[in-house]
Formats: sequence, structure tokens, C-alpha cells
Amino acid sequence: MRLADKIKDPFKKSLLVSFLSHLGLVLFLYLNGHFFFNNDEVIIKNAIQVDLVALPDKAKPQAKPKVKKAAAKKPSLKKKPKFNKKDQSSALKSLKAMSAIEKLKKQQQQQAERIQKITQALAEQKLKKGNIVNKTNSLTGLDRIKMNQFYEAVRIKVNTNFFVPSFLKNQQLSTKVLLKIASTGVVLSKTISQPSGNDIFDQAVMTSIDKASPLPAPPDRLKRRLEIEGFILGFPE
Amino acid sequence: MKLLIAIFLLFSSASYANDGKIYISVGQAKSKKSLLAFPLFNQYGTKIKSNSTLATELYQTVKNDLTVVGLFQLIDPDAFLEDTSKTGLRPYPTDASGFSFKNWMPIGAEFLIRAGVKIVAGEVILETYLYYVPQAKLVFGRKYNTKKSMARELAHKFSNDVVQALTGKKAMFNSKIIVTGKKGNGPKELYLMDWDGNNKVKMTNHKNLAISPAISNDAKMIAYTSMAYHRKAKTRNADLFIKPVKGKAKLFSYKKGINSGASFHPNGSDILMTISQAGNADIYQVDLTTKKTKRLTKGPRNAMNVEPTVSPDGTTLAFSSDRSGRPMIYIMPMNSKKAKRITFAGRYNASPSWSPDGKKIAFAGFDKGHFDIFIVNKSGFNLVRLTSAKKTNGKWANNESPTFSPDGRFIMFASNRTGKKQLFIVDTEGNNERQITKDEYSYEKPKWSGHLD
Repeated sequence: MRLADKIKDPFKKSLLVSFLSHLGLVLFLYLNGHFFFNNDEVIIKNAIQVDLVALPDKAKPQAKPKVKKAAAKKPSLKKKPKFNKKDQSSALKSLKAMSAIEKLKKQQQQQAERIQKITQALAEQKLKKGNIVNKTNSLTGLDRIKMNQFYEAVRIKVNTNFFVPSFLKNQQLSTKVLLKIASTGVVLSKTISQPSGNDIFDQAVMTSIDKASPLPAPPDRLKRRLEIEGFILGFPE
Repeated sequence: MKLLIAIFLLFSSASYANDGKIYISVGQAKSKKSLLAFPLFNQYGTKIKSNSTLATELYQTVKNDLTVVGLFQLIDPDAFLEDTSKTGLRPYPTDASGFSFKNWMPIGAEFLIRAGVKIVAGEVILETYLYYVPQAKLVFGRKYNTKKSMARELAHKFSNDVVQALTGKKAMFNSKIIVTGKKGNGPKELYLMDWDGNNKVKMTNHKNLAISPAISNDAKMIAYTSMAYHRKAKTRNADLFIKPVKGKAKLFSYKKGINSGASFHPNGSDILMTISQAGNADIYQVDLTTKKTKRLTKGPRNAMNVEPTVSPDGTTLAFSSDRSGRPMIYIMPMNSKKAKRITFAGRYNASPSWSPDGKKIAFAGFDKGHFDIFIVNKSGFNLVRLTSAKKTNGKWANNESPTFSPDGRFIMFASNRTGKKQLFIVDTEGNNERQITKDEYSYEKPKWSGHLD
């Protein structure tokens, strides 16, 4: 403020105030963002690319635009011009004119084709016909497959070891377990997040996890998450 | 390219339940039988031979019950680490000379039954304890007593209690079977027996034919058809007899033609059967007291509608009919004549039997030259074959006349796989098949009563 007071010019004064307040605002926002927000890398969770799929069309020959046909017909219907000098120049003129028209028509046609191609390309991007798989984004394609393979491997390993006494067979019991595993697949902690109400069933659930341990190693993208946040196993669903 | 990204962003989504955590369903478990340690009953009181024999018989009754029900794997007594005749029925320190769970855990026992029998003044006292070994916990302890003549029922009651304590639903151990039996060249007569083939009692003595038996739910009455001689007409006719189990048989329905295929209505006051007097073999509902008839099926012409059986809730009739050209299973609401065909496969489907929950029907179906037992939902879906056996000569055996147990766990049927027709049971998934009778008789058309305890 002292500095501002020294400058007598009111315009320069307000300019300085404005500059300093903007600088302060920028500093404030930067520091806020730096210290109070997460620096963790953003994990793209479960991104799904959905293609609208339709049944394939029957293969058809490409439809020719109508303009072409009409242009082809016309010359044959015209009468042959009488041959004389006057006619010759007029004939030449008309020929030139015709070629010019044809040129224009050709240009129009080409443009129409180009537009058609573009719109078709755009439409195809929205609608996939037949058994065409969309080229997925590299961020989710391979990693997605690895994740699904991991889930399936865990499901199979635990299910193979999941036995329940016959006398509990028809009792519709279900339990959920929160599991945390290391990057090698070793079980770090297991806790029942939703008990079934039947001790023996819950015991059978925990035993199946013990027998299935160590679980398959998770893919890189999931390692940290499964170690810290963990995941839930539903018995039977 | 821009469009592509725009669409990609539009459809990207994180869609896990459970507050964003990854969720994996493990799927259904496989079931395994529980290891049961079942040492002999301790015997208390005067040690005389007849008491000892009875105690052993009771033990064998329970042992058979618990083996058949398919929930347990009995541990060989040779593996026991304790001499149970010397230890009390309760654990130490509750009982100073009690047993120790430390002797039962190492052999892998999941359940342990400790029981003792005392026979005094014509009365049997059974003291029982069921333990869950991994948690050294008592599941239940109960004392039973009855007169000596009802000792087997007592043992069956205990078995039912064990099954009920663990599954929530008691088993069929106290129930009866009525069946047609024939010995050698003798006549076909009716026999009443316990579900396990014991206590066999002859019910009829017509000395010609007593067939198509039925038993009331409370096992107090039986019905059957016999070729009685009509003096006026001077011919024999297939007449229906009803007999209280502890009384004399009485002629009930003797209309000209067939009076057969009877079954008791769950309400206990009516009986259903096929009567052909009106020209067509149709199903009638007859009041047991007034004998008033109510016609339930009406043709079509020349069709035979037989083997009626009413669903446990009394609303739907199941029967066999050849109206389509071949005998098939039909169901029909009791108050309408609109029959719905539920079997389409095969050439000859007959003998329907309702499951106690009214959801499924077991029947005998003819396929590739022999009969097998099938089970189907009353909607006609989920058709499953339950039996498939070969005789000793390598040919396919006939498995016929299914009848559901009162707890819905088993189906009893007659099979000729051993040469003679004997009674077998199988569970509703086609597993735990077991022979029940093992004698020189030939049995047909068994019918299972309801729960008797």
C-alpha cells in the first residue's frame, strides 16, 4: 500500500493493485492445489467402451447417384445439328457449354461423394454393423483383459476350495468377505463384511480362502488398490 | 477422431457396487457330507440279554436312518480314541467321568452323538446328546421314553430330531409304506411296513388279487382294488375296498367296470379313483362318508384317465391320460375341467406323484424299452431322469411307480434290477440310491404315507 501511495498516477495505482491481487490469487490457487489435493495418479476405473451394434447388412452393389444417369441420357435425345458455318460456331459454342456443364456436374458429383463418404464414416463410428470389434483405446484394451483374467482366476481358485456341509445345502446362506492381498497374491487380511448368520457356513467360507491362498498375483494396475483398499468376495454371489 | 473421443467419454463409467470396491462372486459351493462319530449306545440298568438286543436294535435303526439321509459320513468305530462304554454322555468337567473333545477332534469328527439306553419295567428311556465337535458345542440334548413296543418309533424320532436340528426340516423316518407283495406263485396281497422295510404286516387275505394300494396321510386307512365276485352278475369285478389298518376291510365302490387307482385326498374326507361305469374310464372324487361322487374328468371319448393324485395343498389334480394317443401326465385344477399336458417326450408316461411342496411331480416314463423314474416341475420344465440301472443279465432294469417321501427328500420306487422287483429309494437329484427291501418277495406300486410324528 505504501508503494501504491508513492505512485501519484491513479491509473498506474489501480494497475499495480490489480496486478498484485491477480498474482496473489494465482499463488493462492497453486499452493492450495499443491498441498491439499491428492497427488496420486488417476486410475481410470472400469472404463467401458460401448459400441452400438446392429446386424450386418446384406452386401449390395453401390447405388449410383441419379444425376449421372440423367446426364448420360440427354445427348442421345438431342437432334443432330445441321451442318453449316453458322451452326458450326454455334455447335462449338454449345459443345463448350456442354463440357463446362459436365465439368460442373462432375465437380458437384465428386463433392457429393466426398460428403457421403464423410457422413458414412461418421455414422459408422456410431453404428458397428456385423462382427466388427471396435479398435479399443490402448489405455483399457490390454489392461482390461488382464483384469478380467485375474478376477476369473481368483473366482476359480476359491470356488474349487469352497465346500459346505450337506445339511446346509438348501438354506440360501450368503456371506461377503473383505480381502486384502499383497502384490504376490498372498492374503494380508480377511474379514467378514457381511455374515450369513450361520457360524458353520461362515467358517466354511474362511476355510476356502485359507485353502486358496496364495491367490493369483494381481495385474500391475490393481496391485496397490488390492493391497490398500482390498476387494470383496461374495459367497456364493 | 474428436467424435470418437467424445463418444468414449460419454460411455465410460465406473460401475461397481459395494462403494466402489472390486467385487468377485465365488459361485455355489460343492456340498460334502459331515463326518459323524456315532459310538454304540451306552447301556444302563439291569444287564440282561433281551435289553442288550433291544439297545443294539435301536442303535442300528438310528444308524441306518442317519446313513440313508445322505448328510453324514459315519466314522469307523476302530478310529475312535476313546472307549465310550467307559465315559459319560456329557463332556468333562460337566460330567466327572465324562468324555473329552480332545479325543474326537483329531479324528476329524464334525458331529458326535452320545446316547444311553435304559430299559426298566417295560419302558425304554433314551438319553441323547448331539455335539458339534470343532466348537466343542452341544447342539441339543434330549430324553425320550416310551413303552417297549414303540421303541423303534422312538429311535426314528431321535433321528428326525438330529436332522431337524441341522437342516431345519425333519426327515421321513417315522412313516409307513403300503405295497403289493407276491411271494413265489402266491397271490398278490397288501403289506404295510416302516419306511425302512421293518415291521412288515400283511393287510389283506383275498387270496386272488389286491392291487393299486393307497394309504391315508396318517397311515390309519388303506384302500385297494380286488377282483371281488358279484353273485348277481356272476362275474368278478375290479372293486374298491377300504380298510382301517387296525380293522376289517369293507367294500366301498363296486360300480360295473373299473373302480381302481385310488388315492386319498389330502383333506382326509374324500378319495379319488377311476370309474368306468359311465362308459369312459374317468376320474371321480368320492366322499368317504356319503359315497357321493363328483366327476372330475370327462373323456375325450375312448380315452382312459387314470392314477389320480391331488397336490398337497388340495388345489391341483395330476393324472395319467392317453387322450393324445399315448399315456402322458396331465394336471388340472380341482374345480375345472381344463387339463394341461405336462409331458411331451417319451411314449408312455404314468404314475404321477406330487412332491410335498407341490412344486414337482415324479413319474415313470418308458424310454428305450424300459421304465425309469423322472422328475419334472409342475410347469413341465426341468425334466430330469433319476434312475438308470442294469440288471445282472446286462439288460436295462425297469424302475416304476414312484412315490414321494413326506419330507420331499426321497422317492421310493420298485425296481427289478436284482431280478425280483424290490423297493429302492433315490433322492430328488438322482443320488444316494439305496435298496430298501431285500427278500424273496416281488413288490409293486408302493405308496408312502405322511409324517407320523
